[in-house]
Amino acid sequence: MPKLKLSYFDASGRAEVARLILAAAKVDYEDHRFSFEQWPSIKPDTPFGAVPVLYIDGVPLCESGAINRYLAAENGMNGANNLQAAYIEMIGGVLGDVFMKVPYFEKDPKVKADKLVKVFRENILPALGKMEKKFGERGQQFLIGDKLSYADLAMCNVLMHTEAHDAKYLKDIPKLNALKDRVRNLDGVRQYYAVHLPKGF
Amino acid sequence: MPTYKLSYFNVPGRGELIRLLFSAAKVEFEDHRFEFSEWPELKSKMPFNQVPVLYIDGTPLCESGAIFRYLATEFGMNGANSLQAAYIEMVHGVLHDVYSKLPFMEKDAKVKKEKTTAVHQEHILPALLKIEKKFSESKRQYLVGDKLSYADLKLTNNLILTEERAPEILPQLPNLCALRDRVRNLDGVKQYLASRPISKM
Repeated sequence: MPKLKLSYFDASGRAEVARLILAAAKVDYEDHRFSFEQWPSIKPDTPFGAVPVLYIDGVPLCESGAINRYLAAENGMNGANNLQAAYIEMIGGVLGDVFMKVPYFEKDPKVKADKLVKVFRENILPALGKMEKKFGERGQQFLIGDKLSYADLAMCNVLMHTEAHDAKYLKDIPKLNALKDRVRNLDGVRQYYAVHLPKGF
Repeated sequence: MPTYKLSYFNVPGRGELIRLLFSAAKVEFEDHRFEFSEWPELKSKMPFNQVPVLYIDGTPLCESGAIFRYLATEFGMNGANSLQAAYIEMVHGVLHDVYSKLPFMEKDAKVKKEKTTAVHQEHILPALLKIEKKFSESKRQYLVGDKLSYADLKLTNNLILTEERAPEILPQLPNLCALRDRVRNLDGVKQYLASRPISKM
């Protein structure tokens, strides 16, 4: 088992799925978190001036997608075959697309609140609604295949933040919400959330 | 072999790497290209109102990353193991980050040219110099591992664009240019590049 260190801001952002994979897999790693103030001094030491970076026995791997899929594959959370892996990535990608529209860094609270309402109405809820329907039709415990994948962890992540922001958004997606609650209570994930409970947007 | 159909705009964009994968693997597919004017009618038919969509025996797979990683794995162009796959995704991700800053939608030709030059100087060249250095030290024929991967196809496509729009940076990247020239002349790739529509973007 290689020695792992994940370097990122002290925020969920583009490192959270990796942290959840490692939590669910109960794999030890150094969860290196730094502040925005520290970033200018850390940036020059990163391979491409960006984080997250995963150090595998000291050797850096960059790009959150590469990190997530590597950790998922190593820990049996990337589906049973290539086609399942593709659908897992599809779900992660769609969630990334719609939640990327959230105005994370908007400083004016009223502008932010109004934009969030719009993004949920026009982008997030329509996508989640489609996924809820398919998930309901499938009638399985996990989004893809028959075991936990990083798609379930990505879904748990966005829905935990959504719940912290405004739980009313979860009422029309009961099956996805139930999935979120199953995943948050998994051994490993539960302990992670006891320390790093999502705070919303 | 399943039947494949790719649906995307008649531009390179997020469809081009997929088309290059089919070409390099010499696997037939229906290259369904449509104009922007047709999009409003097609949009609601797509699972998540976006393209590209890959139909595998008629079943849709969305998200360009899911599509090209699925195909790359099917065609033996995603590395020999999950660590190589991770580095391939990292290189692709870095290239995507910097090349996507180009002003593809800019309509003013003069502004477009200035911004293209600036993006190449400020973002693309610094990233490519780092990759060039590692690549020349490795003395490999391909960016990751010992066979063609989708990272090599991505690089080739990007450097062909740079050749047209900002060739002044290329003398600093001799090994990457040599790789580009090997890949562009591969059977399958060569024919596709000769026949693909010229892009105005």
